[in-house]
Amino acid sequence: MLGSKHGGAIAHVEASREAVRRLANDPLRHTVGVLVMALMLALPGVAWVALRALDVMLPVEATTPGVSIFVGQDVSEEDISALADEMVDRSDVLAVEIVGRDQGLQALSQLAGLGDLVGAFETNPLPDVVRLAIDALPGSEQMQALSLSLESDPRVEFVRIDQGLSNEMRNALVLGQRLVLILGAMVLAAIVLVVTGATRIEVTRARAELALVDLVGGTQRYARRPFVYMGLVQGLAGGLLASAFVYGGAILVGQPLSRLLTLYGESAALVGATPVDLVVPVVCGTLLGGLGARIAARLPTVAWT
Amino acid sequence: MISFENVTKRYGTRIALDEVSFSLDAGEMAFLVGHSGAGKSTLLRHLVCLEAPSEGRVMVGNFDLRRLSASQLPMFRRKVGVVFQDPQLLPDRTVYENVALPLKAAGFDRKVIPGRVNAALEQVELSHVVDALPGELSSGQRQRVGIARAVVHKPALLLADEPTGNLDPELSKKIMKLFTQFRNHGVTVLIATHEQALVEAQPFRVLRLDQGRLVESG
Repeated sequence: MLGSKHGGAIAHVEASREAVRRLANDPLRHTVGVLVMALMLALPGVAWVALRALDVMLPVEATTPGVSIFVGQDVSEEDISALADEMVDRSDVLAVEIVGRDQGLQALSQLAGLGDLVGAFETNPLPDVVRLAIDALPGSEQMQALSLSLESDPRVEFVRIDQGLSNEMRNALVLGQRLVLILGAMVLAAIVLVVTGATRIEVTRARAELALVDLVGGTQRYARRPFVYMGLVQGLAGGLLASAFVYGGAILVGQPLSRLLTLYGESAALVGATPVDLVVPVVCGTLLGGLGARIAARLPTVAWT
Repeated sequence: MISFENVTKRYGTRIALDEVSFSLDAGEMAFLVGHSGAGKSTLLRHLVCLEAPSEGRVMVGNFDLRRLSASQLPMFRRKVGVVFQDPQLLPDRTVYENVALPLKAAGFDRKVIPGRVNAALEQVELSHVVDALPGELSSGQRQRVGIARAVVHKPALLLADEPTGNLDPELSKKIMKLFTQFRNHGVTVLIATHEQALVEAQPFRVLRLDQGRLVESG
């Protein structure tokens, strides 16, 4: 007569129905709870996606320490190539690129608002540039020594060590990503506490019913299960909503970021949320909802004793 | 079926049960009488493990209640039905759902439950209110729903704590008739009451408590 091999599955189905029934009994309160959870989950998610978009869109060469060698106007192409070849042979030089004066002028004219200004020049005022990517920190002795040796070269007009805005942004990004991780950890803990509190209220409300279940021979597992399922359902709903927020947020944040980087003349491919970005809130929400509810349901209740 | 062996229950310095000893055979029906505070409810609470004796031993069937493990307790309670003075129905559940609760809690097959619930409601003559909420019922009907819930899982032992306390004499008679029917089907029945007239109208054994002591067990 008692449930046999299918009994376990039936018990879970019954518990799920009971959980949904309890949620439906107070839809406003539970909807607000789901929204709060979704916003909490989405906040670090959107921030993470935005920081990653910024990270991806920053050009690698701009963040690698480098040296720009501005060559004199009267230096021949052969001498420039010779200089570049000398640089390639150095062990601390990762890459060498010659940016001809025409190429430089073209890049300058593509920058927003500078096209008319460039058109006003009768002759190209820009020098040829040899750009080096260096395996050394911008402020290091190695970099200073290289710079000094290049400045003494008669072919070289001016040497600039590239350690500007992009590099600082890279460091700011790393800091930002760590802050988002800390925020994420705090949010996850807060979600567990919120679900624990909400479920506890539900358990307290059902005290008389739980006492009755206890008295008629229901196990504690039977009594607790609907509450744990409530947490799981709320967590799943919150996670799905958070996922939608992250998706929308990635679009909203990605577009202005693209425009911002266009102003700096960088490639500005729109970077959106990846499937992982969308799955993580759902998984986290469901697990944390279940965990919070489980903690609440396991706390001792007067009725259960 | 039931055996109390020198059971004493103390709450601090107050003695609620004082060396109570008696036994009830399987299928026997008895009244537990005494004034308010005599220890009737405390004695019944021992029989469903809501209390543990300070001294002595309580046996129900083969269960020594003091030695029940946490996992055995639900199994034991599924052999007992309890009727309260206030039937303690769940107000947001229908009559059917209230009566089905012990079966669901015990993990009965879903196919079995409707038949059992309907049979229990037929026994208490409430088949026509199966979809009603407790708030829509009279006090007598609510009490009978409580009885149906107590017997739906066919317990071996039925305990009732002042089951007719809120009912008029006519309804009380009906309820007592139901308990007698259960006893005729082999269920051991123990009813705690302070209604002397009700007890005198029945031919069953009387256990009388006075300030925690069993003063009559004939």
